[in-house]
Amino acid sequence: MLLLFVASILAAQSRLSWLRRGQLKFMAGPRNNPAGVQGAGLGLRRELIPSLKTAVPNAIQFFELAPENWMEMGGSSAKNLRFFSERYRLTCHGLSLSLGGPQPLNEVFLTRVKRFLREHDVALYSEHLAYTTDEGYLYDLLPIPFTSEAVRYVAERIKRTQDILERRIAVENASYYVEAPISEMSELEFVNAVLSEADCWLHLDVNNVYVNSVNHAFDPLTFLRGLPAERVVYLHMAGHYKEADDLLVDTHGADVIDQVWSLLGVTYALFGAKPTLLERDYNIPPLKDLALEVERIAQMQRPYAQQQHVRSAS
Amino acid sequence: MSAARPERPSFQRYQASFTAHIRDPKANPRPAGVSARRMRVYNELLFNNVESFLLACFPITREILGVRRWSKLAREFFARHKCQSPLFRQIPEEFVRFLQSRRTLPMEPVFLAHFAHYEWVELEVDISSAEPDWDRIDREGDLIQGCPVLNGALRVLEYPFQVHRIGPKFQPKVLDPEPTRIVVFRNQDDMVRFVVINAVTGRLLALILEREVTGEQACLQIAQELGHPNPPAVVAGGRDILQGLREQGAILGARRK
Repeated sequence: MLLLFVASILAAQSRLSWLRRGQLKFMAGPRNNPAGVQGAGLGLRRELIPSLKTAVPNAIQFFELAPENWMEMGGSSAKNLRFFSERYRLTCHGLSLSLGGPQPLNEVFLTRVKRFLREHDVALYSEHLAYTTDEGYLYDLLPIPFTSEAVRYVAERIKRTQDILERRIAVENASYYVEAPISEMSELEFVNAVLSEADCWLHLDVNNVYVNSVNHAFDPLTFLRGLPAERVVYLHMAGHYKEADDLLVDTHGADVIDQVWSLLGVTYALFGAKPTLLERDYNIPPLKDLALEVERIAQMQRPYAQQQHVRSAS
Repeated sequence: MSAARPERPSFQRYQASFTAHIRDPKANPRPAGVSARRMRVYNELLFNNVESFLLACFPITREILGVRRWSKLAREFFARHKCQSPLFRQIPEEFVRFLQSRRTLPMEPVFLAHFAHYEWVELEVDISSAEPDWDRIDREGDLIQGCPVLNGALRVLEYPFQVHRIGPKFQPKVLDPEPTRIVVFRNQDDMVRFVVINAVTGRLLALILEREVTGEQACLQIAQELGHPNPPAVVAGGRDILQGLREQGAILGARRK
């Protein structure tokens, strides 16, 4: 009878601290008034959770997360998510929908996203004007060539997404490093054509406007002025990495630079104090330092808050 | 790459050559008219991103293989494997599937795919969405008279190697005659635990997983299967083991009637 049953416990081996520390990449996302958040927000990252649970800085009025990194998880992730979704309004910024991708839209996945959005009463869902797939997932954002065929293709997929989700979505102007030689129009023309054909909102990433303006030598102010004000619902702010004078990489790994703060001022003047989220995905500083940037966003919004109310009342 | 589908619009043909180059720059030239320096940004961003998920989940596999063999393997995964999961956290699972679908190279350890699975399963159990329904579980319930309820975030695994011992200093060259059985589960403090079990305990857990049985029924069935001369002794042994697994958190309690 000796040792008929055996179960010996192995020494606790947890390599999973990386998971809790938040190695899992996720980018922050967007949201606006038609959809239900206001003020300034912060991208929810696992690294920040312990300090956020201690105290959320006053300037933060909402959080954004990537559904891909939080949906259908149990354990500590689920508990953390519940902690924040019960206390704050959430926005979701998707990574994997691949609106410009060659494969059929992943409707099974979209249905799972829909469940997640409902479960956590998510105010806004946005995705990138980009693609992340070929025959499989590549897990990063690739630039759609700016052609009229691509406009129709992407707009159809956005419409289908809105039908399935039964809500309007916002699409984000993505950063890109390679100009497709086959492009038939500018980024601005492409963005505008997609927005109007899909009848969706714009999630305007102010840092991406700056990054693209440097990488592709255009005037960021002309770009901003050329956007349809009535479709701008949500903003992103972030830092980037300067690889060369003419090549910036949108890493979300540094503080926001002055030129991008200035563009945010112009953006508010043009479109009102739209809800604005600070993204920080790498080299994450202590919460109190990030809070300074969120506070700066909130301060810059104040003079325009009234204007926004007037507009939305009209 | 399904490069020859003539009905595809030109922007999709361009995308296909763009992504083919990203996956395997040596085999596929970059699209015509695209700057090499700009293209390299994508080549590096995408591979490094995928590799960072692998490095985070497979630190020991990486250590065993060393830089050269690891890089070759990660490159091969990125170039050949078409991940079907939109969730970033499932990149490691895709990697395990990739390893299982290919023949291990002579230059690689024979246990590669099995050990990678073992490294990955901790992540899988840690984030499993299974949550107990405590209304239907009596934490103190009798595990012999009652029906034991296993933790939902639990896997009972069998490996042909002693995966829990594998590391740079222990690298078996041949399959073990006896499989190594391991129960992996997430306890109530959300910590992942590993317990090595023997064949009889494995059978006991399998019976409990299969259908709702009392601990006694499961033990008596095992006694019968073993042709054991003293079934009450098997039940007594079963009680101890079930109790121990409950203390560890692998068993949550007995089903509430």
